Amino acid sequence: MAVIGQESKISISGNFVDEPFLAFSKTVELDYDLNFFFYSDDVKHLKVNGNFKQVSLSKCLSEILDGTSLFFTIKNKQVFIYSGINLHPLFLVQKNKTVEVENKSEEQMSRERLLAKQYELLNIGLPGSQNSGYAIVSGRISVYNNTLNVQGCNVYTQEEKRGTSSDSKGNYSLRLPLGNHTIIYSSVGMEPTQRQINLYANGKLNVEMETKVNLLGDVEIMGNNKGNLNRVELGMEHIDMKSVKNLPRLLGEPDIINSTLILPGVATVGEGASGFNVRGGKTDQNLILIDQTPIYYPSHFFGNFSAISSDVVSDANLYKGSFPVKYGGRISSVYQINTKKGDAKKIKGAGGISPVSAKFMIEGPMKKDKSSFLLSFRSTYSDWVLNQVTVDQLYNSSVNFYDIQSKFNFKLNEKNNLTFNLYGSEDGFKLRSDTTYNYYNILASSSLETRLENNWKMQNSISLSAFGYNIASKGDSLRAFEITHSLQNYSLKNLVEKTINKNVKVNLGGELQLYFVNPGEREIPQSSELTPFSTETERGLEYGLFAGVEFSPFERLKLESGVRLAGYLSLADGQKNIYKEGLPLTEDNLIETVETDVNSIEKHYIYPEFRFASNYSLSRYTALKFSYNITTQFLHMLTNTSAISPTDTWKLSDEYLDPQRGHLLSAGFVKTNYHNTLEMSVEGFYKRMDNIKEYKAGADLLLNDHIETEILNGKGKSYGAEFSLQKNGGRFYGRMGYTYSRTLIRTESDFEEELINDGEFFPANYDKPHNLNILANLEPARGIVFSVMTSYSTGRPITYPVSKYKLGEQVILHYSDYNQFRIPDYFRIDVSLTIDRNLRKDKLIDGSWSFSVYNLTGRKNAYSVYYRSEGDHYEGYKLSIFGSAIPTVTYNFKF
Amino acid sequence: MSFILVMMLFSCEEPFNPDIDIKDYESMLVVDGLISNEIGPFRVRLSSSVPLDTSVNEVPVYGAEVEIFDTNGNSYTLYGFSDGWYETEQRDLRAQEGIGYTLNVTTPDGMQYESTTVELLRGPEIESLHYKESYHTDFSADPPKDETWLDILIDTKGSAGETSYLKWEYEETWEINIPNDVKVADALGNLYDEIAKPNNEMRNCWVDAKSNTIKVASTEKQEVNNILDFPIKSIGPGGNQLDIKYSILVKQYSMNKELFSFWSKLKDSNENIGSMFDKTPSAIYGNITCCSTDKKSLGYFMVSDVKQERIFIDKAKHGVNTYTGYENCLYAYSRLPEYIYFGETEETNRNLYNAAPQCINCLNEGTNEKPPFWE
Repeated sequence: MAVIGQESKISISGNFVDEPFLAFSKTVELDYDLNFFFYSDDVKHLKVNGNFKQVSLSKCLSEILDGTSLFFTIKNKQVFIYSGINLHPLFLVQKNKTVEVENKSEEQMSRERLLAKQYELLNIGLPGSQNSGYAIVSGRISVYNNTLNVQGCNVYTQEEKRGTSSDSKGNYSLRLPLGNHTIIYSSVGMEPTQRQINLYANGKLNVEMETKVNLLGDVEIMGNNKGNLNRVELGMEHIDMKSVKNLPRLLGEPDIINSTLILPGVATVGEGASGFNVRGGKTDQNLILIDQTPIYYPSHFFGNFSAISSDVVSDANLYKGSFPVKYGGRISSVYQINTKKGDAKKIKGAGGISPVSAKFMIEGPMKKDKSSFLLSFRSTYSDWVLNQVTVDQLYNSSVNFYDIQSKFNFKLNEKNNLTFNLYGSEDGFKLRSDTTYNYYNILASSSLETRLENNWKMQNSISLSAFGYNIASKGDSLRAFEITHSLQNYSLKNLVEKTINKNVKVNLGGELQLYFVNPGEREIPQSSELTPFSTETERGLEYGLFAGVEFSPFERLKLESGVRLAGYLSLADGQKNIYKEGLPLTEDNLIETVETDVNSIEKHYIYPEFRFASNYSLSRYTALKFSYNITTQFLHMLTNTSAISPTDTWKLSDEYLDPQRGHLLSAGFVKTNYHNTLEMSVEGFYKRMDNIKEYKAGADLLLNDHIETEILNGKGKSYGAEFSLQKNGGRFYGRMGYTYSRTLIRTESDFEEELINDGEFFPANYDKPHNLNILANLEPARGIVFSVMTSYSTGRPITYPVSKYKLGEQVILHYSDYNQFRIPDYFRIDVSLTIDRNLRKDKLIDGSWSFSVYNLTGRKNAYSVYYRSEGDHYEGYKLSIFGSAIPTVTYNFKF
Repeated sequence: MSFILVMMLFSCEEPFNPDIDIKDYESMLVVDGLISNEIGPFRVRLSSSVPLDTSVNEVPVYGAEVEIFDTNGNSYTLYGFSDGWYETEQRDLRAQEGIGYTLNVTTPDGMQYESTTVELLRGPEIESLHYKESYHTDFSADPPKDETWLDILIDTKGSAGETSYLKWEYEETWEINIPNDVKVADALGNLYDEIAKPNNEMRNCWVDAKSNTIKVASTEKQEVNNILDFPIKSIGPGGNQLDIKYSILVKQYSMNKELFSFWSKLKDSNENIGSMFDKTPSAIYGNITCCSTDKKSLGYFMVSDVKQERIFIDKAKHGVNTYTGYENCLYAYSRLPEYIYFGETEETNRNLYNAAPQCINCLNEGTNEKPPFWE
């Protein structure tokens, strides 16, 4: 037993009889505003006995730890209890120590050494070299025994209430007053750690963090995970793969896209609908980015699988409340999915087999520590299975999909890092007919990250994203056809970030995106009697220039604000429809179609977008947040089916199709408890959407060369309140989210034919006022996770027939105004059990099993309710996508 | 097990009738108004829509004032005669090309309705009405089987440079024959060689059916103003239509683009419903508006150039599997073969042939009067 460190002035009182040390520490932490740090294994058998009356903390601890091999250190308000290593000499200030303290590869560093680093006092910079009173600590956060970066890691000091988070490359920089600090590093899925520093001047501090599961078992160091509280952004959700993997899953695939649906404020039209709706936005209003590149159809097979394999995803951020200025082009949300960088030290792999698909991923160095690769392939083998079983219902049906991803990373030198990304996916299906549907995504990008000086960072990237589909019917040669639609996006992006001083960090940059859209073509073979259809390829150039600043005018207030100039040039495709002035856009008012100069500028839209977010700390555990954002969207998905179907088409803004504009105002309150094990937040929002795209009744959107006559500009408003409660850490963890929200749209026009429901507000297709999700995880033992997920939501709006009449011999149903009714409410329970017992690191292959049951109660949730006229009578039907419980077993492995 | 298997086996469509809480339901006037260049009176039908859960599908409107005006200043008064039908007294009227017609209706509650002014547009000629076998796979059968169907197809040929908007209606007629000789069985089901001879008066009949789906097409987006092989009707195996002789009369109505769009949307909202790719249904209104208030009305007023064509199809001309419809008929035993009694057995006479009425009397299905057009 030894006492090290400054003498504490804290005196404690209390009577403890055989009190476990853990309980004792919690009591004392709460009563005296202290933080205890220790390994629970160390104090497992330690009991506290004694009646303390105004006894100093160090005396008290000496008494408690007497007879054990444990040491303690009290520093500021932190109490460290540890075994084995005597830290005494490390707290002596060592002069003239090297600036880069931990920049050496820590490969050979033992775990004990890594853990001990938490308690060493590290000198940053040379004494006397900095005069301003402040200096910047920067460095890279990586995974212990690995070269992977830790992204989005919270880096902060408690004394200064100052923090930052690491970027996608794991880099961070933090400006602090000179002197002693404890910097705390915490990230989801990683063991929190800390470094004691004595800051003399700007310096580098690289940190390695341990992953949570394998090594440390039950160790918990609490009080370090300050997720939502310290973030400036409002309504930002961080999603890490570990929590996704524990979710009950449909057909065995952890799904990075569908897992967003458990978050408050995120909803979907229904099962089998691709995409998600964020705070009253349409599915096309989400910018889904895989690294730097937008993906236009983010799922396989009607939205039941994410387009990207979970093995290559490191984490994802969903911005639903405030949008950093570097993002633009969509009005409801940004979903940034970050893929893993290949391991630069050794070859590793992972894979899995589920009833439907198999996947394999391998990563490793090309040149050790310099360059790495990652390759992933996933495919269904359902056709193979189909051939083994004969089920008549599946006659003439097939489904195929695959996706392939590769990433290459080159560390050119200390300052430059180059990344290449390639992604491709293809889907094909045929449902008991001769018509085949095929669609694809191709993404290619290259990104160069440069660190100019310690405080300058620059990222340049170039990317291509292409999406397209084709629908072909070849069975009957007379009616054979092939319909194609495609979209190509080429983009250039530049982003510069600079930390100017302690309180100010700026970022600026620009992006340029060139679009080509083939609105839809029908080709026919010679034998077919159908007619071909073709149109000109639409083109447009979108640009964004942005500048943003993060600053803190005073201690408790953090601000992030910026402006983005969103512009769009609609380029002529060679044909232009001219309509009569002052009359509604209808085919009857179409005067003529004239030839135009290809690529001449037809229309230039330019809008400033203001972004503002603030975080005001009321206390150490509570914060008030506020944000206001303007967004603009020039690319629209046209759909008048209620779900995204692969036949929906993308359309660029042009002379007739105004850009969509969004204004979002949010305010929130976050509270955490002392240990950050509970986090409670309430957020309210109001959103106004202009030029939201609606359609005339029965509009024809495919193969239409005067599509502007079918589209209506709606005004939308959405408002709501989101309540979220999260329990982190421990054997029992989970989250509960409840959202009350409404989304209403109305059309405005002087002409009756351009109005829906006479211009009154009507609920959007995805307007589901009540939405409750509860996810509970229980870890009865290490490596065993039992999860239960419960979802409830109000049924979505639908248009029902209200009356009937006859024309000739046929009974005709007459429908109500648009979306005046609702389908039955939605309710589902999923359960899963994941067993991952191979926790030893040296094992050759680490396998895990996952058992899950989707829709445990077998409830037939309505996807749609409809009536079909059958000659002289009609019938009502309910369609359920999953009408029973669906069990799945999955095996996953890693090596 | 594959995903598609799961989709197929787990997804289900089941009959469902939601509780639709229809607040402030409003009954609307329905106009079924078609006049044409066929000689006859002008006729329209008026009814009113009824709530969905009503047992009848409509209620005829009586006592309305109905008038048709044309752009030449003529007006025609239509008088109610039965079941919501209104017609002119003059029986040799025909709508003419180049003249606009407007329908005016004043319902007994004093509401005035008016149609848009509709001109008769000359429609294309029916180039050919023909039939062709087609081969389908019945996926619902277990196991799926290939079937031969008969498609009745129409070709039209219009003037170059114009666009045709067309609607087709048809009337089918087919012959049915009750078999000449049938075996009889006694009450215990034992078969006897005695032959029953059904009454000749009730053996040969002609059955009628009218189209009850919306068939529309246009030559929009086409380079030529022709329609080739538009399917009017498809007849699958298992029916009695094609068993002896079948005839179909197809009537082709020309219309304007506005009415074409009305019929297409009505079809989308009523027939093309339920799959993931179908449009969301919506309230569809035609070209009749109420001028006294903003009360809406349903239906349409159409002025058409009518073309018609009839074809006959003999059993020998096709390979569709057909049934007589009498395969399951069995006669009960009687000792008095010369006497056939229809209906219930008389207590006094136990020796009767006694059969289900539909097995010996084709008048239940059609008429025994040979239609005038029957060849």
